[in-house]
Amino acid sequence: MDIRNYFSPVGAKKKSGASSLPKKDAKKKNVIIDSDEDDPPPQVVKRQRIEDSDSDDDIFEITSKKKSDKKNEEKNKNKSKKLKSLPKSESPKLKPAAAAEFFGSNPVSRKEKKSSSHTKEEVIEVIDDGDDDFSKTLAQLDEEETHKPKKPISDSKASHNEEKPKPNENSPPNKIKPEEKHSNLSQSSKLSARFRAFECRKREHEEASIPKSTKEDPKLLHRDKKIKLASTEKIVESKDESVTKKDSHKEEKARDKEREKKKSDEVRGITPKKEKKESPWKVKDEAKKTTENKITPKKEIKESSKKKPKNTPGKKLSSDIEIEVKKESPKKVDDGSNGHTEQESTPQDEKKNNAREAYMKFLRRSGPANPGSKVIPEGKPGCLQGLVFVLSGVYDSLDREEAAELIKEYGGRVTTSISRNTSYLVLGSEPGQSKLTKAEQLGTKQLDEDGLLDLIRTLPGKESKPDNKMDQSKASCKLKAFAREKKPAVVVEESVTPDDTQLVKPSSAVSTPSPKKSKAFSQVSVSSQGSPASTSSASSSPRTQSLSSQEIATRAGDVLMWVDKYKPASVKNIIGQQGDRSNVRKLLTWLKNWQLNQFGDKKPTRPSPWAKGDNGAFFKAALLSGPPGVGKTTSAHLVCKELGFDVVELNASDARSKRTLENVVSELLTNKVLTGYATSQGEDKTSARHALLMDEVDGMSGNEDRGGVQELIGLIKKAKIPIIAMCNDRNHPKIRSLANHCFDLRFQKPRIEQIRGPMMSICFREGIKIKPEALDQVILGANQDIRQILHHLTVWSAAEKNLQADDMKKEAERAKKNIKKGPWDVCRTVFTLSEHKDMNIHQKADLFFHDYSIGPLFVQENYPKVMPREAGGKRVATLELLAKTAGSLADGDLVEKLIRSHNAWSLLPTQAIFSSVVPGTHMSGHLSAQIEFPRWLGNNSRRNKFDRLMQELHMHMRLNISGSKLDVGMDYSGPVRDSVTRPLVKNGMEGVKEAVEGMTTYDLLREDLDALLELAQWPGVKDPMMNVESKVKAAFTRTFNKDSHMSPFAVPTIAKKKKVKVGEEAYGEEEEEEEEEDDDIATSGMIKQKKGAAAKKDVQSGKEKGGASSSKGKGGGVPKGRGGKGKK
Amino acid sequence: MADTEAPMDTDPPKTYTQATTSGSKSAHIPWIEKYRPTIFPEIVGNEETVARLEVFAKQGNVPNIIIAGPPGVGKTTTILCLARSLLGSSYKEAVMELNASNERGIDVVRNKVKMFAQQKVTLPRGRHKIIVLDEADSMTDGAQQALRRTMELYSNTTRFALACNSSEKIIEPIQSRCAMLRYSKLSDAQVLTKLLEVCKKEDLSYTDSGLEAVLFTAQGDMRQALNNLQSTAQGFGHVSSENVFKVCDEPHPILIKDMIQHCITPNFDEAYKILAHLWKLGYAAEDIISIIFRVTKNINMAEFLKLEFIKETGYTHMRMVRGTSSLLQLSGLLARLCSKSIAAPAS
Repeated sequence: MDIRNYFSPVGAKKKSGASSLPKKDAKKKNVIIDSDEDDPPPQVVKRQRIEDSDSDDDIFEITSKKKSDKKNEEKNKNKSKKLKSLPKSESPKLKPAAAAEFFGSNPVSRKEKKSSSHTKEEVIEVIDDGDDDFSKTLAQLDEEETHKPKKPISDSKASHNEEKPKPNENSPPNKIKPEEKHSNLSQSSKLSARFRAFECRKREHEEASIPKSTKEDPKLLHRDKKIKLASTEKIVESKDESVTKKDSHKEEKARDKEREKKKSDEVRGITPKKEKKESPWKVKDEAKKTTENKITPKKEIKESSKKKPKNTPGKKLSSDIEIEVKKESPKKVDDGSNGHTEQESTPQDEKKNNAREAYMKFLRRSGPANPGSKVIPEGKPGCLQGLVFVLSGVYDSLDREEAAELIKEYGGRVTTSISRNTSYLVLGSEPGQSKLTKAEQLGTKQLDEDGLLDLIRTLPGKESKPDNKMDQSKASCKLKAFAREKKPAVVVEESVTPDDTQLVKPSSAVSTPSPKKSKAFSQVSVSSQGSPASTSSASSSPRTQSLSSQEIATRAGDVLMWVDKYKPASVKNIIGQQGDRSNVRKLLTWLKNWQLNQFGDKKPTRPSPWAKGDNGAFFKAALLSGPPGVGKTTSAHLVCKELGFDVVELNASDARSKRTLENVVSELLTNKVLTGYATSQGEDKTSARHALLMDEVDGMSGNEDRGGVQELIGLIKKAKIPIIAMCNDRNHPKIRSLANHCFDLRFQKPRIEQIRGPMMSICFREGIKIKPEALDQVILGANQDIRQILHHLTVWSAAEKNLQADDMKKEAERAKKNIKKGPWDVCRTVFTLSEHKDMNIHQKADLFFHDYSIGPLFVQENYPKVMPREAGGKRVATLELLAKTAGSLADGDLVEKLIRSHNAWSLLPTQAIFSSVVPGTHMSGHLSAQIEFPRWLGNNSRRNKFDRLMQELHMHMRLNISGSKLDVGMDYSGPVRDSVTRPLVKNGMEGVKEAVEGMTTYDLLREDLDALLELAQWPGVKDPMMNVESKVKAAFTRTFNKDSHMSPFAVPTIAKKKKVKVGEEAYGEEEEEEEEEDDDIATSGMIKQKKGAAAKKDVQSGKEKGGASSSKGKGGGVPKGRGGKGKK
Repeated sequence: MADTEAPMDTDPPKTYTQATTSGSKSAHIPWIEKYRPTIFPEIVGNEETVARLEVFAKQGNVPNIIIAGPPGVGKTTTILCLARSLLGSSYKEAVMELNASNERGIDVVRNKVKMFAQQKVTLPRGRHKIIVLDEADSMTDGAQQALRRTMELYSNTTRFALACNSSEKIIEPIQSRCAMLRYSKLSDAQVLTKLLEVCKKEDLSYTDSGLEAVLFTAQGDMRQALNNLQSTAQGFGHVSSENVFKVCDEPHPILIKDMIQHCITPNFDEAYKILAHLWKLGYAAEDIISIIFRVTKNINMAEFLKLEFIKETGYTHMRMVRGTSSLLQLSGLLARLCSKSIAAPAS
């Protein structure tokens, strides 16, 4: 567990780094910006970038870009050398190029570019082929950080492994070299990711774009020139134009790459502004726009460009990434340059404000209203080819990401801002204002969600790159498609990966000196984890994987259950928890602020139990409760992962008794995870942040776990780390005490609509055809238990991939979870006509058997509340029915008595008839009041208590009275009580002596008086002690205690000082007793003072709580006889 | 379900081979074991579910499953078949079977089961270790709780197969982690085909009414059917209705049903004749009354009258439990039932 946890955060960080946003917050913002907001995004991005700049990550990013460039170059070289022989090219590519480029410093790399036009050209080619893919991969990386499945990464990594590792694996030194290179450059993670993507592309590229290389050469040159000289750029541009005519797409891609390069160059120190301003490209771009179909929004480019110049290099990088994500064509670059100049003019403050507002708005935004409610049409492959979409607002059924995936799947492009190239603006509710206005300005066509779906349905397909795209599942990126093409190779890679990781890890340990290296290694290891093939990292792999391409799915499918395969990989993917008011969000903020809240200057106060919107700041622990299969454990794990906590998990499969908890947990919590040393080169990267997950707290039961809950509460009280507990039944008595100390988060079952969407997409991925109606049946049948839905789908689709609604309904009906009904439900069903009208006599009898010990009591308690339908509201008829029912219940009671006394269990079915079926038949109608817990139980225990009290009194008074035990209760209790209380009431302090005499006459002890008071108290009668002043009472007690009383019976010496606390301190009882005897006299005075005020209450509460409790306060120094008994 | 059970109890193919080798009546193993199916096609009943499992047996990657159903429908057999076809030769190492005869307390789950789940067994891709928990409904709640996370954490290497009679005794979290497969009772036809096969293999002489009687006593439970068939065959050598009811000593429900019908008519004389006959045969009053109770519940009659009948039967049963189990009480019951029937139409 620990290791896994450990890895996951690391992986996440690296991923984030790869995407350019090292900090999680930053990531979130970025994501948000990318996806949702029009104007604000750039600003936010800036902020993030700034943050980045502060941290090392910036450097990483820069380096990574450089690396990527270098890689490209390398690749190009490789390609040039071995374009057609894939296997050869893979291994050699890396090595030769890497050695020079990786080791080389930034300037060196630049020089290389400049000097080696050929290499650059090659690079460009590569880029051309792969640009889209590359951008996608980058986008994926970004997404992955925040929410998306990690499979893409794993794929890319896998592919990476495939190509690179082979040589590496075989020869460890080789591996080290590339990684070292990475480390030198900085973060290898990003590089590796890109690298893989590039490789993938290379393959495609090799297939298709061999001739292009020659054409592209000018572009490469062009780039270099641009970077340094505007004039040269112009020349290049002219060249480009010629090229573009020939291969417009490729050119565009090349331009993108060039852009990237520029950015990287900028980062290195070259001023981007010059380039952009100078760039004649714009002209060219415009021309291209007219010619080319794939026009991308200029805004984005602008934004990105703006960001780049203004902010630190980190920003630029991010912008690049964004661009890539958007798959912008080279035209964008031109636009970007223009925009860039424009943006510079605008004041940053304004932007920030806007961004903040937009961000706030975004936060408030809810998810799709009816996710999955619409059928996603199957369009022709590539039917959206060449169309550029901008998404805005919240759609009715599609998640924004889903929509984007959908569009991508059919070959369309999704950009974040509107440009002239944008074909359609897809509007949802709450669309971004800026997008709307811009769209109006540009005359962009506007669509709603249905329009988009119609478009997919109706447009004819194009066959440009159809194969890849067709195969891709929605979530899948092009990377995956590439991976597919390489399938055979992939398999090899998979098999290799585990070895790889093993090899890599030791090597990393060896090469710890360079921190960068280690990171690279860690990435590799993470990737191996993510790759389905690595069965060794069993527990971790399912987590990391989730929604991803079919390919991966099928590969992983052999090993994983769907439940694991589609496990949400990030907090955002948890079904039913997307909202900002969701439990996951609350948990996230709670955990994030935990340290602050618990150890900050200001101690939060305990919130009132019914305060709303509490953020749980007061509590040290959180309690997640809810039915199974709603994602409690998943949420807890993902939240911890997201915040970088190391998780220590204890679940019901671990022994969790008081002692083991003490030992194990306290030990665990002082531990540190060492993986940080391996991955971060000895810096204090070990996360000291732990979280304790106590899963299945309600499973702490039996002898094994004795005292576990108490100990857990103790742990919570002194905890220095956050504790997250989980349980199903929050009302379990054991949990209730725990819940007082926990931030209470109750998980509800997600609604059908919330489940439907994700399930549909899984079905799609698994190739199952299922109608939404049929799926609804499945969901209902599983009682909205997501896990069970997946299991059912697995089984039912095993033989038949085409699932019909009718069959599903039948199956769901049969598989309906058999939940044991609680007595409340049973009682309701017994009496409610609508619920039992379809049941036959056997089923009705079965209701009784749900819990035949308490069921009859419920029926008996609640039958008068039923409004029987048969009576039609007439009182006489109702009374008759009531009489019949009562008779039947009486018979049932007789039967039960017989069963218990004669052990005649064969009569049980008979009792079922008498106690449940017959009353249900007579009184079928509807319940007019809430079902109550049978009072019989309470009354019965009270009767037992009184019986005990009478016994005791009888024993004490035996020498002075002649009556029996019953007489004590019925006849003596009142007068004897009066003999004591009347003097007190009448004469106050003067009466004390008389009262004490009354006590001694009957050889009563002090607590016998309490028993008497309770016994003689009848409902509706005033308690005589009520009128006695507390002062008098105290005096009475003191006087009574002072005298030594000779009693004809042995007085037990056991006494308890404070019974109130006894419950909690059960273990320390004996010591207390000893102390008490010493303290008796000394404390008695104090006690009286304290109790004085509370005395009345005590008397009152005594009635309810029981005799013993009432004797607490006044007990003073008198040793108490049987305090313990009275408690319960 | 029924189908599966039937094969379990009396697998036809197995029976053929075994019967031929061992000779029909000299077999020393109970027929239910002798004819227990080992491959999916032999399993009788619940064809859909079995077919699905068969697909999993070929593809691998079975989810965790719970098979719930009445006794004798083939739950355990199905699971064993599944494990055998999935794991083949490594069956021994990769399958852990725990049934109610094993200790399955919380300790065992925490130690033995968890250890086994953690073990490494080399298996082909898509195959997993299988932990079979038979009669899972007899596991304590605590033990089931302890199973929860284990099921998830080791799902990469280990799958669980649970069999139980009543699924409500499986705690909800476990149900949530499993695909629930429900087996239903076998139809008489399904049981009959198996019985015929067994009869053929064992070379029995039988009458149709005899087999019918076996079916009646079995109530869709293949195991029961085979046991009854075997006892009858070994006791009398001939499976006839009389022999079957001699072996399975129970007042014949059809007689009781007739008796009740007479009470409804109401025709006390006829009803009493049947009762006297049963009494003469030597059946205990307790047996008769419990059969009356069961039959009355199933009989087709007016609902309120049925309740009255059941109530009267219940009172009589109570008296018998107190020790007055005499013919007089039973006759009194009949008389009261008749009077109820007379009063009913009037009311």
